[in-house]
Amino acid sequence: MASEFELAELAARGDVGAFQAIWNAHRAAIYRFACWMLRDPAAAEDVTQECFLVLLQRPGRFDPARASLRTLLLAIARNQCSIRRRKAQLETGLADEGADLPAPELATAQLASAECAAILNAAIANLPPLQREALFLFEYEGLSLEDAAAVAGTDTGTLKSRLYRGRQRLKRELSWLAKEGF
Amino acid sequence: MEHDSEIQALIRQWVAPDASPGMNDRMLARFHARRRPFWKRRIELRVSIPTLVPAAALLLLLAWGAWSGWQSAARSSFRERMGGFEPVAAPQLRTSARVTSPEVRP
Repeated sequence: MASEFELAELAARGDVGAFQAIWNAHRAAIYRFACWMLRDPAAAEDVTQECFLVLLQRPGRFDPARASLRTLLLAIARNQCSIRRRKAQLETGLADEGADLPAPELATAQLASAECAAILNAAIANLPPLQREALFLFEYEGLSLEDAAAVAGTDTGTLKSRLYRGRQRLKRELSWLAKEGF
Repeated sequence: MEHDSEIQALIRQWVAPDASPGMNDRMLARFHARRRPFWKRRIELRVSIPTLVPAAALLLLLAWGAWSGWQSAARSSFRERMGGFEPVAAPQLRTSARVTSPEVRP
């Protein structure tokens, strides 16, 4: 069985089978990440496709010794999302703002309702983009700290800080939204 | 750093909206569109031009434009100063054969 490196090389040379193997293995994760960051399924689809096209144009960017193919694709997706966000001015920037207020006790029982998904979506949407991406990469996607930091283009210390602040803020948002009966 | 199990469990409840059914087909269409025929890839030639070369060419072009503009301005101002006088491009010499003085006659 061909390695991902070989598949990427073959796909770049026009091998449909190799491309489909890579596409099928990673498209869902890339699409999820783009949806999480952009909150727009149509834009997320575009970003997902762009990521794979970038890989096809420059397969040399993939170095298995440095990172896995998924890590590289997520890093490309992150850049694409940032470009889109800047263009659309959906966000005011990638500012890692958000005061570190103490997190209240999380009322998980209140979240076990039909409104849970809506509350969760709203809470995620209120997170600053850098904290949002850190939570997705580490907690949702289950990447290691090193890989998540590589995708986010930062060091592990900064990523830990974003994770801490993101968790605090998410708990606060969830608690507030649940209390308000969102 | 440990995962926060409570947050992780909550976050993992999030489900991305379904992608549109045509996404795979669109991706494949884009994949095929970027593929070029074998012969095209074979004869493809790339020439790298350093940035300095077009920059120098642009500067030369600007300098030439400025110089020729200055030249034509100088020419028209010379004509104005001459009050409409145009020098003859190929002057022709004309000699007169009328000699009236008898002393000079041989």
